[in-house]
Amino acid sequence: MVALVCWLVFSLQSYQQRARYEVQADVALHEIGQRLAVAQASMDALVGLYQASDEMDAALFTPFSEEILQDYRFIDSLQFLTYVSRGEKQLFIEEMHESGFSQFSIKSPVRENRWPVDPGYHLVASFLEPLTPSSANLMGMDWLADDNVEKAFYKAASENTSQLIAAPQGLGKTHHLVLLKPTYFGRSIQENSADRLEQVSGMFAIVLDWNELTHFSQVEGGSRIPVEFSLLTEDGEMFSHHEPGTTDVLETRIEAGNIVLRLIAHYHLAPTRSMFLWVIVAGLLCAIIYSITVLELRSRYLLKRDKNRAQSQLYKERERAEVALRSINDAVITTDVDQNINYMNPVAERMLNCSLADVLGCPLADLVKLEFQPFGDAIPDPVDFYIDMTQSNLRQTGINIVLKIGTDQLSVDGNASPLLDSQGQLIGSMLVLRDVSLEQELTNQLVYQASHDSLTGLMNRAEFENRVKEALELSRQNDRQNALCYIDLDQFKLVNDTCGHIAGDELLKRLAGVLQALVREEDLVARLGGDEFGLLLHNCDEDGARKKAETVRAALRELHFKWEEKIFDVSASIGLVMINRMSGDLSDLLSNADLACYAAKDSGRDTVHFYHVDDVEISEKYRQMQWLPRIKEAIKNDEFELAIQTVASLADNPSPRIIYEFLLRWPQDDGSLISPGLFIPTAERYDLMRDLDGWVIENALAAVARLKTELQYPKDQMFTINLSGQSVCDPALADFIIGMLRRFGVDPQAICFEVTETVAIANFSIAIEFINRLRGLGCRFALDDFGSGLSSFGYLKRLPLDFLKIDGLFVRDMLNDPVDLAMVRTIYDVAKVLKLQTIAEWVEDEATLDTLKSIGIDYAQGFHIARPVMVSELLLPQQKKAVCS
Amino acid sequence: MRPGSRFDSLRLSFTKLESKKIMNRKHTILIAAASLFISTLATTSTASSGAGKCLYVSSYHRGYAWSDGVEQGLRKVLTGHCEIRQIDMDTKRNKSPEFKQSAAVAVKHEIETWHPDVVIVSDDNAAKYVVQQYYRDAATPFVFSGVNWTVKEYGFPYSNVTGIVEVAPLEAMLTHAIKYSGGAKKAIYLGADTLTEKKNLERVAGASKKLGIDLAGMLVSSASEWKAQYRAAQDADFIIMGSYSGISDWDKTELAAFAVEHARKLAVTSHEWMMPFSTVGFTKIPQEHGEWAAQTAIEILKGKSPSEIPIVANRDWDLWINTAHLESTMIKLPRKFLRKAKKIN
Repeated sequence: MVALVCWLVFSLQSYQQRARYEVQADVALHEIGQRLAVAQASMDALVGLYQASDEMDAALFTPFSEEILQDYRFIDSLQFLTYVSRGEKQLFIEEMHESGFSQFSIKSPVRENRWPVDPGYHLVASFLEPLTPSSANLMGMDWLADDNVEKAFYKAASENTSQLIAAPQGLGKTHHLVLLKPTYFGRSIQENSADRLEQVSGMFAIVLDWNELTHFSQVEGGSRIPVEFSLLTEDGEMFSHHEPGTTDVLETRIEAGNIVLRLIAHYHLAPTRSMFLWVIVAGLLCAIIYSITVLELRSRYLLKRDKNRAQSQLYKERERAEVALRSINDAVITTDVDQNINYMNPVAERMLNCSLADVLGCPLADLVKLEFQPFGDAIPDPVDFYIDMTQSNLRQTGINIVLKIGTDQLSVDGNASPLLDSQGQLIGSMLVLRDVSLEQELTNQLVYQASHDSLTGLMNRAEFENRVKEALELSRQNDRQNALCYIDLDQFKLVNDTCGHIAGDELLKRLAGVLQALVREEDLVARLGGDEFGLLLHNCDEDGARKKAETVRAALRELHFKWEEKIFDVSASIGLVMINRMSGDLSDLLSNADLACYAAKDSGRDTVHFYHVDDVEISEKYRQMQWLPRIKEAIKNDEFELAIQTVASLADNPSPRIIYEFLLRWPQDDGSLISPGLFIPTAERYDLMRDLDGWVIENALAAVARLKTELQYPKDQMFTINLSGQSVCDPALADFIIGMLRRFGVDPQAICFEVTETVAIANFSIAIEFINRLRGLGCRFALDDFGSGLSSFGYLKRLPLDFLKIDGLFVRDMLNDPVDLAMVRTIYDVAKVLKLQTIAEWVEDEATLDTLKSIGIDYAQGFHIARPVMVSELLLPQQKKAVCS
Repeated sequence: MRPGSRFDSLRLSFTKLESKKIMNRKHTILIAAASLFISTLATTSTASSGAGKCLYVSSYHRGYAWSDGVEQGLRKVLTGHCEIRQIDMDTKRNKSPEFKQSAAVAVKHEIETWHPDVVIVSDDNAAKYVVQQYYRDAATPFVFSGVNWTVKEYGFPYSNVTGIVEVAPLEAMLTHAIKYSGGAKKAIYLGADTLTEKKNLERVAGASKKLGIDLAGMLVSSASEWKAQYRAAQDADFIIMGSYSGISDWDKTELAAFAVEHARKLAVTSHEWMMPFSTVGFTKIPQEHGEWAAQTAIEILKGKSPSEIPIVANRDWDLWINTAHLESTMIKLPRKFLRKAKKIN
């Protein structure tokens, strides 16, 4: 169709072009005819002028010619051709020479196939305008040498007519015409042809430039006509320059004087730029319209196809959605705008214990009844609730929502969203409920476990501290008093150690029950860890708190725990602190309660210590607590030092021959020493003993290495190092000791580690493993302070020991107290049976030493034997000799 | 200082030296060459837009009417086509053969040093002393103009020479003279006793013979002699006035008045400058010669050989009427002629 439109536009344009060309060609042909008429008129005038004068001369010819040439550009030149007979030829040439044309000659080329060779007449160019250096050589040209000219000349001369011919070759001008007209001698011209031929004197020739003749620089309409012309004589075509393929447009008959010609205009039907432009514009418009139409039809087709696909897809999606809804484990309920149920999936039916048919159109709120737990607040509009919850991200708060179904209830998690149509209009809502009862139960368990002690079922320390914190804040807000009790069982370890953990656990359960029975419902009981319990007494003044604490203490004192024939008296040390607006922060409160409990324990146990700000005992405990940062700083800055005390051998040929015990000392800037008794309890309480023991082990072994090499200590000697219970329980201690031994190159057989009876028994299995590993290397072990603790010979039998150090309490008074003496003897006897060497501590006089010797004790230690000496002093050069001696 | 004044002073010195004949020929040539060389530099007109060099050699001097007209026509056409240098040989005022020779040597020197692409020579002396003497069939192309009547005496054409011959419209002039003098055919030719005038007289005689005119020639050397002959010529039917050029004591004003006072018969001339002493003039147009020479030079600059361009003759002339003379002679001229002719008083 586009091609058809283009063709129509092109045809129309061609038609218009042809019409335009025809008009222009008509004008052009008319103009050409006029120009030829002008040439003819000029010729007539020239001939007339010639005939009127006697003879042709420059004065006649030149001005006239110049004027014509100036006025008409299509007239190329004018010539007068003198008709010269063979007899006149020489004379004529001489005349020309006389007139200044010294080189003048008649240029008459030999014509082939013509006889005679020298023609009888010449038609010689004797006047020429414009005469220029480039045209001067045309002077003397014999025009009769050209056949066409000859034919035209004789025709014109005989008939006294004008002739129009193509320019002779001799002129050297292509695309030129020549208008010829004869002149005659005399003023009257003969009537018959023969006489005229006799009378002819020459001929004027007007040379016409065909290109100029047919050139029109501008035509109506402003565009140059791309038209070519042909000139035809009556005999046939004379002049034609049109290219093949051009179309004849117009033909006109021209009568210029006696010349009758036919002039034909040709033009190329070549498409113009504007035609192309019109065709392109029309084509584009048509193409655009066509494209729009096609696109519209295609769009409709695609729309319909997409609609069908969408419907099909929608159906599939619906099917898929229904299948999905039927198969998912969530309850899905949809409602209309008025919140009336219009769909339920099978899960929803099961969850709500009803069928869709039964509840279709029923209000959702009547069927789905949700409430918060544990407080039971109802949720009136489940959809709005879940939409709001989704938007406010309340799901993160972990609230528990239950769905009430009759008397049953389910914990549910829900989600709701509005249903919108394609225009965004609300058409209903969808509620999704999931039964999370199991998850909720597990969550509850986790929460419970996180806040309760698994053994006793009481709150644990973390939850208890939270509650104390809440109570503290409430006290500040409401100016109410609460009380906090720290309960620490006395000798609980004894139960554990003697009857095992199961017994200990049972005791703790019993205690939990007793404590819970003693407090009010609003009060809280918690197990804070180990044998520690806490009480939070709400709305309780100081007197009430004291009474309650005493009640608890008394109740526990009355409790006799029986386990496998063993009966243990239970008592507890109780620290009491009030919670009021004057209390510090939680940390202070807990610390104060701890200190109060500590004070109660120190004051003889089975007591209640009430904390108050100016409490001296508490202040002391507090002061001790201040040791904590100092101890840490001292370890960090290496402020501790080691002392060494000699343990003398009482037997003959002992092995080892001599024993040295490393003792820990803390020198102060004023030169005094801080006794371990002051800071060791703090270190034990605040779990710093591992650090202290580590420091002692590293520095003791280093000292042993230096003492052995620098002071050349005698062979068969032994160095003892004390280990705390915390360190022995550390599984990494053995590796650390082994590493230090290797580092300092110390023989393990020269080292003996001392552990207390209590530590060894309290951590029996760990202690055995630890001892066995180091003894395997050669180290030896001593049980320190034996007799003051549990003195369980059963454990002693099972412990892999080398030495038994008898508690100094028995040794110091053994000469005065027969029981102590008996204890020493008994311990010695047992040790001998167990093949353990014995070391008696605290030997402060010779009598005691003698008694010990008599008993058979192997080694003695005490100020009577030797006072401790600082290792740093031993390593001074001036001390070397003395020590060695 | 006006242009050319230096040249004028040198020329004056040269003239004095020549008159005293105290210098030998060699010195004369050298001085003339030097003066001409300087004249060349002083009168050079540089109007070239291309690389061509055109040397214009005038036989005469500036201020001479004919030479000025030729130069005017030449420069009108040639300007812009080549660099133009001009040498005036000044042989109208210095007629000795030695001077002419020395002037020709100077021209030759200029040609050989400047190497022009084409040399245009104006009038006979340049054609004779320069072209004929030094450049016959030479490589340097020459264009001549203003050579009187014929080039035979110079042997033209050479392969390197072409030009335009100066011819007077003698037949037209004589035809009209016969016509306006009542058909009488006895005539006197009055001119200076010079080579040129002798040639002119010869041409006029030939033309007169064709027309059946009884012609007598009077060539004079002084003004007084001219006056005498002029008065004598009043006895003829008409007078053909040749050129006074060559009459050294010619007083134009006086003799013009003399001619008017004693004019009784028609006096015709083919020289424009003789119109103050004539009644009717059929005069050549010097610009035509200059223009033709320039057009020819341009063709040569384009690559055409001089031999390809035929020698032609001038064809235009002016018609003049001296109204004072006309009144004195009381001759009646046709109204058409009176209106057509240029007029002097």
